[in-house]
Amino acid sequence: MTEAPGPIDSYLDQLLAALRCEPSRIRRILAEAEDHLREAARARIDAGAEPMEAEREAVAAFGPPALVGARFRATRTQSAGGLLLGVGFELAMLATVALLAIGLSGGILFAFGELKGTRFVVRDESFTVVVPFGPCAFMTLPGEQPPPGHGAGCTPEYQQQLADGARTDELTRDALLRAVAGAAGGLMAVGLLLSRRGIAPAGVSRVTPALGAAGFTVLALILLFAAYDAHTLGGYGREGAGMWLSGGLAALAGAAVCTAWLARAVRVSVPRVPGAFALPR
Amino acid sequence: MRPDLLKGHLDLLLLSIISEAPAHGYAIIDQLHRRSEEAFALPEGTVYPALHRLEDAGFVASTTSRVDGRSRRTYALTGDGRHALAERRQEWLIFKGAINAVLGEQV
Repeated sequence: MTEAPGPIDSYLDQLLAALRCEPSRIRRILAEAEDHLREAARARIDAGAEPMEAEREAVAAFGPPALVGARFRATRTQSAGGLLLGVGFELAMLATVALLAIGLSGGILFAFGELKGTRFVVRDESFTVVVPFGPCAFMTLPGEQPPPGHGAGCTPEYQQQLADGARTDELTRDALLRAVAGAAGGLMAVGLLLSRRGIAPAGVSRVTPALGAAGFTVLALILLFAAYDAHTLGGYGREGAGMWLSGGLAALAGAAVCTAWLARAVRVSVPRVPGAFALPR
Repeated sequence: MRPDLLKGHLDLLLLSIISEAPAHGYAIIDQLHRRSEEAFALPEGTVYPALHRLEDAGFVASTTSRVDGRSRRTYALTGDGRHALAERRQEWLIFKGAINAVLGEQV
Protein backbone atom coordinates (compact mmCIF):
# COMPACT_ATOMS: atom_id res chain seq x y z
CA MET A 1 0.00 0.00 0.00
CA THR A 2 1.28 3.44 -0.92
CA GLU A 3 2.04 5.66 2.05
CA ALA A 4 0.12 8.95 2.13
CA PRO A 5 2.33 12.01 1.56
CA GLY A 6 3.14 14.06 4.65
CA PRO A 7 2.54 17.80 4.99
CA ILE A 8 5.96 18.68 3.58
CA ASP A 9 5.58 16.44 0.53
CA SER A 10 2.10 17.80 -0.12
CA TYR A 11 3.37 21.35 0.25
CA LEU A 12 6.20 20.76 -2.22
CA ASP A 13 3.67 19.39 -4.72
CA GLN A 14 1.60 22.54 -4.35
CA LEU A 15 4.67 24.77 -4.63
CA LEU A 16 5.67 22.95 -7.81
CA ALA A 17 2.26 23.76 -9.27
CA ALA A 18 2.62 27.42 -8.27
CA LEU A 19 6.03 27.97 -9.88
CA ARG A 20 6.29 29.36 -13.40
CA CYS A 21 9.85 29.23 -14.59
CA GLU A 22 12.35 27.04 -16.33
CA PRO A 23 12.77 23.45 -15.05
CA SER A 24 16.31 23.93 -13.68
CA ARG A 25 15.13 26.85 -11.57
CA ILE A 26 12.14 24.90 -10.34
CA ARG A 27 14.41 22.03 -9.26
CA ARG A 28 16.61 24.46 -7.34
CA ILE A 29 13.68 26.15 -5.60
CA LEU A 30 12.09 22.86 -4.60
CA ALA A 31 15.38 21.44 -3.29
CA GLU A 32 15.99 24.57 -1.25
CA ALA A 33 12.43 24.62 0.08
CA GLU A 34 12.62 20.96 1.07
CA ASP A 35 15.92 21.45 2.87
CA HIS A 36 14.42 24.37 4.78
CA LEU A 37 11.19 22.56 5.66
CA ARG A 38 12.92 19.34 6.78
CA GLU A 39 15.34 21.28 8.95
CA ALA A 40 12.55 23.43 10.38
CA ALA A 41 10.52 20.31 11.19
CA ARG A 42 13.53 18.61 12.78
CA ALA A 43 14.12 21.66 14.98
CA ARG A 44 10.52 21.50 16.14
CA ILE A 45 10.78 17.78 16.83
CA ASP A 46 13.93 18.45 18.87
CA ALA A 47 11.88 21.01 20.79
CA GLY A 48 9.30 18.33 21.64
CA ALA A 49 6.73 18.48 18.84
CA GLU A 50 5.16 15.41 17.25
CA PRO A 51 6.60 14.71 13.76
CA MET A 52 3.38 15.41 11.84
CA GLU A 53 2.64 18.52 13.87
CA ALA A 54 6.23 19.67 13.36
CA GLU A 55 5.85 19.31 9.59
CA ARG A 56 2.52 21.16 9.62
CA GLU A 57 4.02 24.05 11.59
CA ALA A 58 7.06 24.22 9.33
CA VAL A 59 4.82 24.36 6.26
CA ALA A 60 2.56 27.02 7.79
CA ALA A 61 5.55 29.22 8.65
CA PHE A 62 6.92 28.90 5.11
CA GLY A 63 3.86 30.61 3.67
CA PRO A 64 1.14 29.71 1.14
CA PRO A 65 2.56 28.07 -2.02
CA ALA A 66 0.75 30.57 -4.24
CA LEU A 67 2.33 33.48 -2.35
CA VAL A 68 5.84 32.01 -2.43
CA GLY A 69 5.45 31.19 -6.13
CA ALA A 70 4.26 34.73 -6.85
CA ARG A 71 7.27 36.21 -5.00
CA PHE A 72 9.64 34.09 -7.04
CA ARG A 73 7.94 35.27 -10.20
CA ALA A 74 8.12 38.91 -9.08
CA THR A 75 11.88 38.75 -8.45
CA ARG A 76 12.72 37.46 -11.89
CA THR A 77 14.37 39.92 -14.20
CA GLN A 78 12.40 39.79 -17.40
CA SER A 79 13.61 40.65 -20.85
CA ALA A 80 11.38 42.69 -23.14
CA GLY A 81 10.65 39.50 -25.04
CA GLY A 82 9.74 37.68 -21.84
CA LEU A 83 7.47 40.51 -20.79
CA LEU A 84 5.70 40.48 -24.15
CA LEU A 85 5.34 36.72 -23.92
CA GLY A 86 3.80 37.08 -20.46
CA VAL A 87 1.35 39.74 -21.64
CA GLY A 88 0.46 37.57 -24.62
CA PHE A 89 -0.13 34.61 -22.32
CA GLU A 90 -2.56 36.56 -20.15
CA LEU A 91 -4.41 37.95 -23.15
CA ALA A 92 -4.62 34.43 -24.54
CA MET A 93 -6.14 33.33 -21.21
CA LEU A 94 -8.73 36.08 -21.55
CA ALA A 95 -9.48 35.08 -25.15
CA THR A 96 -9.87 31.48 -23.98
CA VAL A 97 -12.43 32.52 -21.38
CA ALA A 98 -14.30 34.47 -24.08
CA LEU A 99 -14.33 31.54 -26.51
CA LEU A 100 -15.48 29.14 -23.81
CA ALA A 101 -18.25 31.60 -22.88
CA ILE A 102 -19.38 31.70 -26.52
CA GLY A 103 -19.43 27.91 -26.55
CA LEU A 104 -21.48 27.92 -23.36
CA SER A 105 -23.94 30.35 -24.92
CA GLY A 106 -24.36 27.92 -27.82
CA GLY A 107 -25.27 25.15 -25.39
CA ILE A 108 -27.75 27.42 -23.61
CA LEU A 109 -29.19 28.51 -26.96
CA PHE A 110 -29.73 24.91 -28.01
CA ALA A 111 -31.31 24.06 -24.65
CA PHE A 112 -33.68 27.03 -24.93
CA GLY A 113 -34.68 25.87 -28.41
CA GLU A 114 -35.47 22.41 -27.08
CA LEU A 115 -37.27 23.56 -23.96
CA LYS A 116 -39.05 26.72 -25.05
CA GLY A 117 -39.30 26.37 -28.81
CA THR A 118 -37.47 27.99 -31.68
CA ARG A 119 -39.57 31.17 -31.55
CA PHE A 120 -38.04 31.94 -28.15
CA VAL A 121 -34.54 32.03 -29.58
CA VAL A 122 -34.94 33.09 -33.23
CA ARG A 123 -37.05 36.09 -34.21
CA ASP A 124 -38.52 36.34 -37.67
CA GLU A 125 -36.52 39.39 -38.72
CA SER A 126 -33.25 37.60 -38.08
CA PHE A 127 -33.49 35.17 -40.98
CA THR A 128 -34.78 34.89 -44.50
CA VAL A 129 -36.71 32.13 -46.15
CA VAL A 130 -35.28 31.39 -49.55
CA VAL A 131 -37.56 29.16 -51.62
CA PRO A 132 -36.17 28.60 -55.12
CA PHE A 133 -39.13 26.58 -56.35
CA GLY A 134 -42.65 25.52 -55.36
CA PRO A 135 -45.76 27.54 -54.69
CA CYS A 136 -43.92 30.04 -52.48
CA ALA A 137 -40.92 30.51 -54.76
CA PHE A 138 -39.20 33.93 -54.44
CA MET A 139 -40.59 34.52 -50.96
CA THR A 140 -37.82 35.82 -48.71
CA LEU A 141 -39.62 36.63 -45.46
CA PRO A 142 -42.52 34.92 -43.68
CA GLY A 143 -45.74 36.74 -44.51
CA GLU A 144 -44.31 38.33 -47.60
CA GLN A 145 -46.61 38.26 -50.59
CA PRO A 146 -45.24 36.20 -53.48
CA PRO A 147 -44.66 37.96 -56.80
CA PRO A 148 -47.57 37.98 -59.31
CA GLY A 149 -47.97 34.62 -60.96
CA HIS A 150 -46.40 32.65 -58.11
CA GLY A 151 -49.10 32.85 -55.47
CA ALA A 152 -51.12 29.74 -56.16
CA GLY A 153 -50.88 27.34 -53.24
CA CYS A 154 -48.69 29.65 -51.11
CA THR A 155 -51.05 29.51 -48.15
CA PRO A 156 -50.31 31.13 -44.78
CA GLU A 157 -50.01 27.63 -43.24
CA TYR A 158 -47.51 26.57 -45.86
CA GLN A 159 -45.60 29.82 -45.37
CA GLN A 160 -45.49 29.19 -41.62
CA GLN A 161 -44.25 25.66 -42.20
CA LEU A 162 -41.43 27.03 -44.34
CA ALA A 163 -40.66 29.70 -41.75
CA ASP A 164 -40.50 27.16 -38.91
CA GLY A 165 -38.06 25.04 -40.88
CA ALA A 166 -35.90 28.05 -41.63
CA ARG A 167 -36.03 29.09 -37.99
CA THR A 168 -34.81 25.66 -36.89
CA ASP A 169 -32.00 25.84 -39.46
CA GLU A 170 -31.02 29.26 -38.13
CA LEU A 171 -30.96 27.99 -34.56
CA THR A 172 -28.87 24.96 -35.50
CA ARG A 173 -26.39 27.08 -37.44
CA ASP A 174 -26.00 29.60 -34.59
CA ALA A 175 -25.60 26.91 -31.94
CA LEU A 176 -23.10 25.04 -34.10
CA LEU A 177 -20.97 28.12 -34.77
CA ARG A 178 -20.88 28.90 -31.06
CA ALA A 179 -19.99 25.29 -30.28
CA VAL A 180 -17.07 25.53 -32.70
CA ALA A 181 -15.88 28.67 -30.88
CA GLY A 182 -16.20 26.82 -27.56
CA ALA A 183 -14.20 23.88 -28.91
CA ALA A 184 -11.48 26.29 -30.05
CA GLY A 185 -11.48 27.75 -26.53
CA GLY A 186 -11.10 24.25 -25.08
CA LEU A 187 -8.11 23.56 -27.31
CA MET A 188 -6.57 26.90 -26.32
CA ALA A 189 -7.12 26.07 -22.64
CA VAL A 190 -5.28 22.77 -23.04
CA GLY A 191 -2.46 24.51 -24.91
CA LEU A 192 -2.12 27.17 -22.23
CA LEU A 193 -2.06 24.58 -19.45
CA LEU A 194 0.68 22.65 -21.22
CA SER A 195 2.81 25.72 -21.95
CA ARG A 196 2.34 27.83 -18.84
CA ARG A 197 5.28 26.37 -16.91
CA GLY A 198 7.87 27.88 -19.21
CA ILE A 199 6.27 31.31 -19.34
CA ALA A 200 6.84 33.94 -16.69
CA PRO A 201 3.96 36.24 -15.80
CA ALA A 202 3.80 39.70 -17.27
CA GLY A 203 3.31 41.45 -13.97
CA VAL A 204 -0.13 42.64 -15.02
CA SER A 205 -1.96 39.65 -13.63
CA ARG A 206 -4.44 41.87 -11.78
CA VAL A 207 -5.06 44.19 -14.73
CA THR A 208 -6.04 41.53 -17.25
CA PRO A 209 -8.65 39.73 -15.10
CA ALA A 210 -10.00 43.10 -13.91
CA LEU A 211 -10.50 44.20 -17.51
CA GLY A 212 -12.08 40.84 -18.31
CA ALA A 213 -14.46 40.96 -15.34
CA ALA A 214 -15.52 44.52 -16.17
CA GLY A 215 -15.95 43.76 -19.87
CA PHE A 216 -17.96 40.61 -19.33
CA THR A 217 -20.16 42.31 -16.73
CA VAL A 218 -21.00 45.21 -19.04
CA LEU A 219 -21.69 42.82 -21.91
CA ALA A 220 -23.91 40.67 -19.68
CA LEU A 221 -25.93 43.70 -18.58
CA ILE A 222 -26.45 44.82 -22.18
CA LEU A 223 -27.50 41.37 -23.38
CA LEU A 224 -29.77 40.70 -20.40
CA PHE A 225 -31.49 44.05 -20.91
CA ALA A 226 -31.94 43.22 -24.59
CA ALA A 227 -33.48 39.88 -23.59
CA TYR A 228 -35.81 41.64 -21.14
CA ASP A 229 -36.68 44.19 -23.78
CA ALA A 230 -37.42 41.52 -26.37
CA HIS A 231 -39.50 39.43 -24.02
CA THR A 232 -41.41 42.09 -22.11
CA LEU A 233 -41.42 45.33 -24.03
CA GLY A 234 -41.59 43.94 -27.53
CA GLY A 235 -38.63 46.01 -28.65
CA TYR A 236 -37.34 43.13 -30.71
CA GLY A 237 -40.63 41.74 -31.95
CA ARG A 238 -41.39 39.78 -28.73
CA GLU A 239 -39.40 36.91 -30.17
CA GLY A 240 -35.77 35.95 -30.00
CA ALA A 241 -35.34 36.78 -26.30
CA GLY A 242 -33.49 33.48 -25.85
CA MET A 243 -30.80 34.60 -28.30
CA TRP A 244 -29.94 37.59 -26.07
CA LEU A 245 -30.49 35.66 -22.85
CA SER A 246 -28.09 32.87 -23.82
CA GLY A 247 -25.38 35.44 -24.50
CA GLY A 248 -26.12 37.31 -21.28
CA LEU A 249 -25.93 34.19 -19.13
CA ALA A 250 -22.68 33.09 -20.77
CA ALA A 251 -21.22 36.59 -20.28
CA LEU A 252 -22.16 36.37 -16.60
CA ALA A 253 -20.24 33.08 -16.39
CA GLY A 254 -17.25 34.77 -18.05
CA ALA A 255 -17.46 37.62 -15.52
CA ALA A 256 -17.52 35.09 -12.66
CA VAL A 257 -14.44 33.30 -14.00
CA CYS A 258 -12.53 36.59 -14.40
CA THR A 259 -13.58 37.69 -10.90
CA ALA A 260 -12.26 34.44 -9.42
CA TRP A 261 -9.03 34.92 -11.42
CA LEU A 262 -8.75 38.49 -10.07
CA ALA A 263 -9.42 37.36 -6.49
CA ARG A 264 -6.65 34.79 -6.77
CA ALA A 265 -4.23 37.36 -8.19
CA VAL A 266 -5.00 39.73 -5.30
CA ARG A 267 -4.77 36.96 -2.69
CA VAL A 268 -1.30 35.77 -3.71
CA SER A 269 0.06 39.31 -3.65
CA VAL A 270 -0.85 39.94 -0.01
CA PRO A 271 0.96 38.02 2.73
CA ARG A 272 -1.51 36.84 5.34
CA VAL A 273 0.58 34.72 7.65
CA PRO A 274 0.95 36.63 10.89
CA GLY A 275 3.74 35.44 13.10
CA ALA A 276 5.16 33.25 10.39
CA PHE A 277 8.67 33.76 11.70
CA ALA A 278 8.04 31.57 14.72
CA LEU A 279 11.08 29.34 14.32
CA PRO A 280 11.77 27.15 17.35
CA ARG A 281 14.77 28.08 19.42
CA MET B 1 5.25 44.79 13.01
CA ARG B 2 3.69 45.16 9.58
CA PRO B 3 5.54 43.11 6.92
CA ASP B 4 5.46 46.01 4.46
CA LEU B 5 7.68 48.06 6.82
CA LEU B 6 10.43 45.60 5.95
CA LYS B 7 10.05 46.32 2.27
CA GLY B 8 13.22 47.80 0.86
CA HIS B 9 15.31 46.81 3.88
CA LEU B 10 15.30 43.03 3.60
CA ASP B 11 18.28 43.02 1.22
CA LEU B 12 20.36 45.02 3.71
CA LEU B 13 19.49 42.62 6.53
CA LEU B 14 20.28 39.53 4.45
CA LEU B 15 23.57 40.94 3.18
CA SER B 16 24.52 41.86 6.73
CA ILE B 17 23.87 38.35 8.07
CA ILE B 18 25.64 36.65 5.17
CA SER B 19 28.61 39.01 5.52
CA GLU B 20 29.45 37.47 8.92
CA ALA B 21 29.68 33.92 7.59
CA PRO B 22 28.40 31.88 4.65
CA ALA B 23 25.09 30.30 5.58
CA HIS B 24 22.18 28.36 4.10
CA GLY B 25 18.62 29.69 3.88
CA TYR B 26 17.25 28.24 7.10
CA ALA B 27 20.23 29.51 9.11
CA ILE B 28 19.92 32.99 7.58
CA ILE B 29 16.22 33.15 8.39
CA ASP B 30 16.88 31.81 11.88
CA GLN B 31 19.41 34.60 12.45
CA LEU B 32 16.95 37.17 11.13
CA HIS B 33 14.34 35.81 13.49
CA ARG B 34 16.58 35.74 16.55
CA ARG B 35 18.19 39.12 16.09
CA SER B 36 14.88 40.87 15.36
CA GLU B 37 13.30 39.12 18.34
CA GLU B 38 10.52 37.87 16.07
CA ALA B 39 9.61 41.40 15.03
CA PHE B 40 9.26 40.64 11.32
CA ALA B 41 6.12 38.64 10.61
CA LEU B 42 6.67 37.52 7.05
CA PRO B 43 6.40 34.04 5.54
CA GLU B 44 9.80 32.34 5.61
CA GLY B 45 9.42 31.16 2.02
CA THR B 46 9.37 34.74 0.79
CA VAL B 47 12.98 35.24 1.94
CA TYR B 48 14.27 32.81 -0.70
CA PRO B 49 13.17 34.93 -3.68
CA ALA B 50 15.13 37.79 -2.09
CA LEU B 51 18.22 35.57 -1.78
CA HIS B 52 17.87 34.55 -5.43
CA ARG B 53 17.53 38.18 -6.43
CA LEU B 54 20.71 39.06 -4.56
CA GLU B 55 22.47 36.22 -6.33
CA ASP B 56 21.16 37.35 -9.72
CA ALA B 57 22.53 40.82 -8.92
CA GLY B 58 25.94 39.30 -8.12
CA PHE B 59 25.91 40.34 -4.45
CA VAL B 60 25.99 36.76 -3.15
CA ALA B 61 27.21 33.49 -4.63
CA SER B 62 25.89 30.06 -3.73
CA THR B 63 27.35 26.57 -3.58
CA THR B 64 25.61 23.26 -3.00
CA SER B 65 26.55 20.38 -0.73
CA ARG B 66 24.91 17.21 0.56
CA VAL B 67 23.64 17.21 4.13
CA ASP B 68 21.60 14.31 5.54
CA GLY B 69 21.05 13.10 1.98
CA ARG B 70 19.59 16.43 0.94
CA SER B 71 20.93 19.14 -1.31
CA ARG B 72 21.84 22.26 0.66
CA ARG B 73 22.63 25.63 -0.88
CA THR B 74 24.97 27.92 1.04
CA TYR B 75 25.23 31.64 0.33
CA ALA B 76 28.38 33.74 0.66
CA LEU B 77 28.98 37.45 0.11
CA THR B 78 30.87 38.51 -3.04
CA GLY B 79 33.06 41.56 -3.52
CA ASP B 80 30.19 43.42 -5.15
CA GLY B 81 27.99 42.35 -2.26
CA ARG B 82 30.44 43.85 0.23
CA HIS B 83 30.33 47.19 -1.61
CA ALA B 84 26.53 47.02 -1.83
CA LEU B 85 26.30 46.27 1.89
CA ALA B 86 28.49 49.26 2.75
CA GLU B 87 26.42 51.54 0.54
CA ARG B 88 23.09 50.34 1.86
CA ARG B 89 24.26 50.51 5.44
CA GLN B 90 25.23 54.13 4.86
CA GLU B 91 21.87 54.84 3.21
CA TRP B 92 20.08 53.27 6.15
CA LEU B 93 21.99 55.38 8.67
CA ILE B 94 21.07 58.54 6.78
CA PHE B 95 17.46 57.38 6.49
CA LYS B 96 17.27 56.46 10.16
CA GLY B 97 18.80 59.77 11.19
CA ALA B 98 16.30 61.68 9.04
CA ILE B 99 13.35 59.78 10.48
CA ASN B 100 14.57 60.33 14.02
CA ALA B 101 15.14 64.00 13.32
CA VAL B 102 11.58 64.42 12.09
CA LEU B 103 10.05 62.44 14.94
CA GLY B 104 12.24 64.26 17.46
CA GLU B 105 11.26 63.74 21.08
CA GLN B 106 8.56 61.26 20.17
CA VAL B 107 11.19 58.56 19.49
